Amino acid sequence: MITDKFAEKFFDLFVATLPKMFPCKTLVRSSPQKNNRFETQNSIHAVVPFFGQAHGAYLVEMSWDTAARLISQDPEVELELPALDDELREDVVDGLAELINIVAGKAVASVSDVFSNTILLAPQIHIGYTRLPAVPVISCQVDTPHGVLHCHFYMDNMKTTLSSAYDTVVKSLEDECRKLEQANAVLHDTQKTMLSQEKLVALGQMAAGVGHEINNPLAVISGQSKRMKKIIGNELSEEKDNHELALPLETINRNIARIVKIIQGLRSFSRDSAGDPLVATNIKECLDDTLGFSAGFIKEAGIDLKVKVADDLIVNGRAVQISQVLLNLLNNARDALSEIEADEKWIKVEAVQNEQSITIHVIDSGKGIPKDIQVSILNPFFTTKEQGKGTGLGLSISADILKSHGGSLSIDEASPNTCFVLKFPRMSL
Amino acid sequence: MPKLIIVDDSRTIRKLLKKIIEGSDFEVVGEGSDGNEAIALFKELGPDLVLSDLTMPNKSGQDAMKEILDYDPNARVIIISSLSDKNIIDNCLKLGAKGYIEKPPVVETDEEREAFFTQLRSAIS
Repeated sequence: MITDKFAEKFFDLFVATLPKMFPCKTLVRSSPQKNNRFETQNSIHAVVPFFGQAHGAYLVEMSWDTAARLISQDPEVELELPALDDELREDVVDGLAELINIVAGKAVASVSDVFSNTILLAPQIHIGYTRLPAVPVISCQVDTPHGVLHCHFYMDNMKTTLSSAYDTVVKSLEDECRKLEQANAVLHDTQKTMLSQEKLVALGQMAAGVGHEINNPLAVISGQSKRMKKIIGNELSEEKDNHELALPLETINRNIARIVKIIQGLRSFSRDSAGDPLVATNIKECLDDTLGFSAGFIKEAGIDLKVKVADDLIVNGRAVQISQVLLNLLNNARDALSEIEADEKWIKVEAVQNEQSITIHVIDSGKGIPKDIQVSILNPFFTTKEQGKGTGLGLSISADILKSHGGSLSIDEASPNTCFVLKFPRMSL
Repeated sequence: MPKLIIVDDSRTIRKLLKKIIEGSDFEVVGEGSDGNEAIALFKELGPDLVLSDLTMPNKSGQDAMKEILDYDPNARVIIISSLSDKNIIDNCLKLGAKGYIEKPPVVETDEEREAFFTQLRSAIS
């Protein structure tokens, strides 16, 4: 059916274009007819093959007499086929090539909705006998005052079907390639993340080692410091001038206590706690462990830290994991605030409890997370940080940790600031 | 009288165009059959307008037009081509062609003749 439409278009365009290039007073076209094969002894054949989504050719044939009269517009023209370099012969070849090229171009454009990717080859002019492959041909006859012309259209349906099948295969391959590219990108990201995780593990092991090595000399310093305090305390009662030593010693002791706390945090952070059982865990202690080595960075970034967490909030959990989540959220908040210009920058950590749950809010003075990002922010590998600064796993791991505690990690959409909500089920006593 | 050159590898089209333009207020001062000839003719004759085909041997009409416009940014080129070159035509119009005339050029009626020459005149105005 499509072949018939295609052929009809070609014949219509041919009879419309021909008189514009080579004037004919009258032009009569017959109805299209189907033939099983094409063969002609007519002298002149102009052919434009096409291929792509459809394979076939447009063809016009006529006797030399007709062609010569038509092109020269001279009824008295020499009717013998002239030599190769004859001007009339060159005119006939050029004129017919241009005519069929224009018609075929319009015909292909007119069916571009069906065969959008069809390419025309350059027109060819044959002189002599022509026989096409054994394919069905649709033909019509055009009577002109200069003689009879025959227009033919053939489409190689087998090649067209093959071409269509080829297109389908190529499309399917392209789809598969795209999927593979996506999978490859995910693998690449995973590999990067694993490298980064490996680095973190190594760092953790190093931290544990450093913590262990520092702990022993620290114990000695701490012991000696306490001893000194004791000695000075005794002497103070007798020699009041020595009381100037008491204040620096107090400072030393306070800082030793701080170093001990940081080392404790490092040591507990650096061990894998995923397999630990859930036990009664104090939220405030977890937060203190975290702040032991993150409060300094927050302060250095010019951010005010406000903590409002009661000392008696107990959840059924793994302290290291809870500290890990808090550290991740605090680091994220610090990074986000460091990137913005604001007169006032703060991070608040607040915890409340009711009969069912204990909820921790980690809020920063940022303007919240855009709605379109909220959907993906807890997904693995999602990050808005610049390349190399974030793995896109922190929040996803944090959400998993909360889930393993029977709780949840979410974003408070109602908050005017950026607010993450950690919800733990209340521990049954 | 504005001068123009006609560039087309088909002598049939060149003849048709010459016949249409003869006796009008335009003068055909040169004819070429490929892009290289178009450039050479433009540099030699400095016409007011170039009527050029797109698909030609040796150098395409699009490439020739680019070189002509590089040589003289005020050059005026009108593309004469068949519909099958639609994408190239669009591209040429973006690159600076002043218009497009579909092949075969037709001036059978007064309206068609007027439309043809209006396009030529507006290209050089």
